[in-house]
Amino acid sequence: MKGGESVEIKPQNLSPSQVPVASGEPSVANDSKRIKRVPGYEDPNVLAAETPFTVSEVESLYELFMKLSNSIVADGLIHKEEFQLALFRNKNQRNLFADRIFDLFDIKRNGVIEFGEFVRSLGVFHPNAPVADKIAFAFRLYDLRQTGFIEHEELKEMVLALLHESDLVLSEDVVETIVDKTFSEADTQGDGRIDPEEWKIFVSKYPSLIKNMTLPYLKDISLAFPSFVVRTEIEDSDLSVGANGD
Amino acid sequence: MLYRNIYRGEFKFPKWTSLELRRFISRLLDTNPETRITIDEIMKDPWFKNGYKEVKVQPLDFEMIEEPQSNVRLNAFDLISFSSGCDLSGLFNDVDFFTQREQFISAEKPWKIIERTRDEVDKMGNVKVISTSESGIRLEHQGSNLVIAIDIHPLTEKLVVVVVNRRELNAESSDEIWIGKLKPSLSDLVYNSESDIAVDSE
Repeated sequence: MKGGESVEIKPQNLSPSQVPVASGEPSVANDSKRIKRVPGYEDPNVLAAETPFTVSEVESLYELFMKLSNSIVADGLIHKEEFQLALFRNKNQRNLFADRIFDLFDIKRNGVIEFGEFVRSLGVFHPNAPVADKIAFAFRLYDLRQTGFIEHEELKEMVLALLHESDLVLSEDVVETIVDKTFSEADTQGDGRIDPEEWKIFVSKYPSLIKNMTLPYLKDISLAFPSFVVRTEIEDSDLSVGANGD
Repeated sequence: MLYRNIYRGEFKFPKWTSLELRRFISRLLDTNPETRITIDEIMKDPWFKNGYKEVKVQPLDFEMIEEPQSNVRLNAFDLISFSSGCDLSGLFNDVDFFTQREQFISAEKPWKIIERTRDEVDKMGNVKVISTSESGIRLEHQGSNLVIAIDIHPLTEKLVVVVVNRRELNAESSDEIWIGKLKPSLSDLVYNSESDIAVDSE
């Protein structure tokens, strides 16, 4: 089949809307049984070009995405409950940081994470992603009210949220002391808030601050989710005698 | 259609495939499970061996994750990063390994915490100490592939944060060993802020 279609093997039991149509048309049909045109779907080649992932890693991410996005509502989109289910094994578990990360992944701000958004956002967590991207993502994560700065109150709020979530108990005084100390060290200009520049310098002093911004697992993702998309073009005339002699 | 052909053992080879490859694939697609090629035989197959490089996939090792330096006090952002909401590795759980992290605060010195852990582990019998350092200890369960990594980070002059990471293939054994046995036996190490006033006046 010409026209750039990448798969030759056509399972017979596809529904009519899924059978590859003649080339030249922007086809509704999918390339393979496995990749459906859910909203927010983007071509793996495009995503691979714009993220640290290879095409086959993007395809593996698709497997993961399908698993996550259909866990509660089978619509190929990750809803907040499905995100919470994946992270906490509890779809109703609310968490300040998970909320922030969900919002950051939801680039279009339509309340769900689509496949393209998923891959692009996860790209920042790849071991090969530029450190500057990770630093910037962490900053936006901690900038709770999206003012462009991390304010003192925001830092305190986040520490309290962590303590609450993990059943850690610290006295009010100790929390104040820790927050003040951290803040004054980071806020070198002393204007009561941490700006992206100050954050960058602070992270370079304490690199482990962005350790959550790297998922080493992403490097081996295609081993965990082997994708079965067939990519070679084979004409029948290229085939020769088969195993059964026919 | 594809799967039906595989099921029946009907397939054709592209012209460019070598004889060894065809032989190999035929052995892989053998419909009879008794005579089908085994993993050991795959490793010995001439086509397969040609150019084969063994890749060791390391399960996510705790050392790979850059922990805060053990002699530097945790700052507020370090604390925040302990949140499970900040940790996306949960998205990949259930795939190969299952990891869980929790932490507690202690007013004890690191060496004391490590020593107490060692004592409790020795009592348990089926858990072994793999390694210790100034600021941590690694344990292994004999009988499953559960590994527990305990790291201690200073927080204030008096307090430390003890981070417990568990990694395993199935969740049951670690819950039983950590939550059921080891964690309760170490519960006296956990900092109780109400008693802080008493401690301060000493």
